[in-house]
Amino acid sequence: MKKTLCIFLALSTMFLSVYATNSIPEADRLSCWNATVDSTDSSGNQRIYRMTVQPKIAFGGVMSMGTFSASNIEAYTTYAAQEWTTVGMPVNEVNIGSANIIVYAGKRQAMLLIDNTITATTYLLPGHTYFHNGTGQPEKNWYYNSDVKCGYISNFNKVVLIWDDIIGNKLDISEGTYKNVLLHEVGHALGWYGHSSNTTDIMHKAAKDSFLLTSRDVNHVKQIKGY
Amino acid sequence: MKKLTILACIILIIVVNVFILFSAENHNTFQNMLDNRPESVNPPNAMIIPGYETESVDDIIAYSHAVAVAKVEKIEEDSYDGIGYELKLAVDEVIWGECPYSELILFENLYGGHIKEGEEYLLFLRALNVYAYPENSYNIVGNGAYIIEDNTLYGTSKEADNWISDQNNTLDKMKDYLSKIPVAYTSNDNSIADSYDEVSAMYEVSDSVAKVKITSVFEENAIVDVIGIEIIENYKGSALSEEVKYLWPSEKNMAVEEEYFVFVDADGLPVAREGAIIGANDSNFNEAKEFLANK
Repeated sequence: MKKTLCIFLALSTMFLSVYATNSIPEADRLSCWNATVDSTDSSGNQRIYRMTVQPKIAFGGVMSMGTFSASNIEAYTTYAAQEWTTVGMPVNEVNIGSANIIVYAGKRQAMLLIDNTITATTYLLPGHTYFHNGTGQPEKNWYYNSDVKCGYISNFNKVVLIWDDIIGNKLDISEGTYKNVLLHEVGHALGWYGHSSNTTDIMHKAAKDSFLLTSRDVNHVKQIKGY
Repeated sequence: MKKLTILACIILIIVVNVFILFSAENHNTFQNMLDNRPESVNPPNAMIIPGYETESVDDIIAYSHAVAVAKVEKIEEDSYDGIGYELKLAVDEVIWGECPYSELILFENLYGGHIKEGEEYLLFLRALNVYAYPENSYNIVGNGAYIIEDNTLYGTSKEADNWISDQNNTLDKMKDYLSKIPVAYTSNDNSIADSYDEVSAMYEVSDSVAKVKITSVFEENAIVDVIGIEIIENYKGSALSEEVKYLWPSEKNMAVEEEYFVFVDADGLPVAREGAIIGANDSNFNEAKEFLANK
């Protein structure tokens, strides 16, 4: 009896000690939509979006002169839409009035007018995806499974911004890298919240001169697509 | 006696358990806070160009207009569709550069979340300097927000800890360190005026001035519309192009076929917060029409 009691108390001590330091089992962290999400937000939540509408993309225009050619960026937008469509994530090209993903290119200063949360952190980055519905009110519905945060996006504008300067200096990156940036940002608009940890993936955080989606890019989108 | 021993054991173990729980939650709260900081505030949905990462105070200061100690008075968490926050700060002390405002507006994207209401920080600041925002609008440069605890500086992300060194890891040392770095920016460099009394003065500071006809309007957000133009007459410069769309104030309610005089900088942005996009109903329309007729 005493032995049983002691074992029970010892186990409870161990349990409480472990509980106090780590209350979320690792296995639960990736259970939300069975998605494998590499990165987390600042609160430690792993996050993914699920689109509940058909992605419709439009080129919104070049916003300031920069070094961009409007026709080039329009062609890259078409390329990104076709690439994601080819791998099973159909993205329709439409006119700007009916799009829920809009691509703008220009100088960073101009992009600030669309998304003033482009902070100095992002000054050094060539692309950004901004979610808005034009009214200031989010339409995302979030739910949690353990510490994985999942959100639906419905009729929600995703604005993909790319720019070619860092604080007045031209970003000297290649055409291939611009295509890579567009593919990457459209990937976010389609549901990727975080980044891949595999450096060869388009959805890895670093821009590079490659513009073909990998199987890992594709498989993750297949996991999270919801339409 | 045995019962008493068992009872004592039980009480002891319960006390130990309670102590473990209590200490796990409360032991060294500040250290726990430091341990729970994000690895980085780099936004996870943006791309990073290899080689451009910020790695030191010298890197951060190169992009900064001012460094100040300021307290976060208010965080508007619902700002910008849950994507970013607007923060209002009270400036306690400017320790480098020029920042003539006692109150600041900062914009922080969602992936930050590292700045807390009611707390005081050492901030590396860069003026937003875009016509649509108040002149006291700033961004934080990189991970340049530091917690001040007993004069010691701690990064608001773990990564930022690596950017300070023995030479500048306290507030006093940082003041001394920055005092040796020349200031490159003053508030005079903020080129966005509220307005100009005379069209002629606005003409002088403009990179391009033209009369344009609106060919397309797309409502982007509460601040700007995306505007397509046809250039009817160009009076100065070549910054404007019919191939480019422009982000001009939505409050103008521009419509297709309407005509405007526009005074813009090299990026096609208005040179003043008010009065640089002039339509037939604006008070300075006749003045602009008369002035530009002689150009």
